[in-house]
Amino acid sequence: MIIANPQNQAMKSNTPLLVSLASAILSVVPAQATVPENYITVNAKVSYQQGEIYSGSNARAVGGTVKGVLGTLRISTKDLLKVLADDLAITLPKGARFLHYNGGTFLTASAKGDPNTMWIVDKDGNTIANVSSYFNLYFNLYSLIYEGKYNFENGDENTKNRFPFEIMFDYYIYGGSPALQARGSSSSMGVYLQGNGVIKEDFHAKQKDFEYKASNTGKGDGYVVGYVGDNVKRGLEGANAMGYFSIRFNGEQVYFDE
Amino acid sequence: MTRSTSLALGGVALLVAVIAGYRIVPRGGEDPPAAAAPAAHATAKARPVNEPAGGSAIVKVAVADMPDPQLSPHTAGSEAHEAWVKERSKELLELAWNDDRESMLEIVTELRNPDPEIREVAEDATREFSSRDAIPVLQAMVAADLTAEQKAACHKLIEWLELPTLSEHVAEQRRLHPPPADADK
Repeated sequence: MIIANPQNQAMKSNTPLLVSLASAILSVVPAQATVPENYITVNAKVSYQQGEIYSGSNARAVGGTVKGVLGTLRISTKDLLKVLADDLAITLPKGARFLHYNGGTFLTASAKGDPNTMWIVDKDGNTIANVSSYFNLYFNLYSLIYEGKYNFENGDENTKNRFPFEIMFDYYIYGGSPALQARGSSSSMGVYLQGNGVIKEDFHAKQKDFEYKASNTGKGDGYVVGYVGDNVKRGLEGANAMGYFSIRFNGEQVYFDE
Repeated sequence: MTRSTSLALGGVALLVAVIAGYRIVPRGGEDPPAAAAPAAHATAKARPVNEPAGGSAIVKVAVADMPDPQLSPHTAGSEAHEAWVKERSKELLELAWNDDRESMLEIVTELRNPDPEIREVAEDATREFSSRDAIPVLQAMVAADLTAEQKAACHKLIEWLELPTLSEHVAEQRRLHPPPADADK
């Protein structure tokens, strides 16, 4: 992903003093820049309360039994793309993928607009659809910790970073978000999950003459909780759900600073 | 192996596959892209296909016929090794976007890689590939001479791949619970 926009320099504001100092000393590259746009993959395994089977219609009164039944489903990137494409009534080209713009801690917005947005793009990064309302991430770079080196003189950086992140997935088949509908409506069905995790990121940056190149790869794991609303007919609006997920991401940034 | 022998073996494999009700995507005769695999992996191999007892047709793959994992030519812990792992990881994750059998096999075989970082990436890439076609391959690997850790990884992947996908879940829910008349969508 090439962003020819020198205003798009990143600052991880967990180190305001360091950043301010770096900015004052060196106006070109702030300390600990990061890559604003990343290709994302995700997979998850989610279990939910699929139902409860009572031993009889009068089981509670006569000391019967109830058997809990769990359902489990998996979410992969390809499958998620398929579900969202169906919902948006679009046909995705081969190699379409998710691109996350993590501009939450950046000084200015990029061409993608608001920070923390999720996009479906083609394999070359061209925008197909904004799917932020369905699936999104928030990289909490304010809480970043790191090890490695940043060179104030030439802008080179090789760091291993860790930071928390949040994930949200909200897909409804009908009736609006099950999480919202569960608070009042009687007709909804879908999946709503949110969760947290920790990311480990490898970040590299190099500046030569006026060209600045940065790249990163990372992986994050965490848990989600929420609802899988397939018990609508039995009045259990949005059955409790929980599970684990992991994401991987990678990005590149190149810009020229004159 | 002569060309005629290869063709004969391929024909037998295809016939068995048709009987078993499966379409086999042959690897024979096609070399993987040079950038994706070294020459040692480019040998065309006939794929044995068996129909197990019990009636359910499952395509079995002999581990010996799978491509070998790619090994780093560099010393473990060196910068060159780290760069190699990074590049190989990138290749595997990119292969996961494909849907063809060759890509799947190249990913899954890396679960046997002695490098734990590559194995971890291969696990994720197998999930990303997200095809149940990998299950018989993983089952064959479990039955082969793998370490306990590698077998555990295969078991986890089999279990994961056997789960209903989100799209299957959605389709089932649409079937079981059609929207009520007042639904807004």
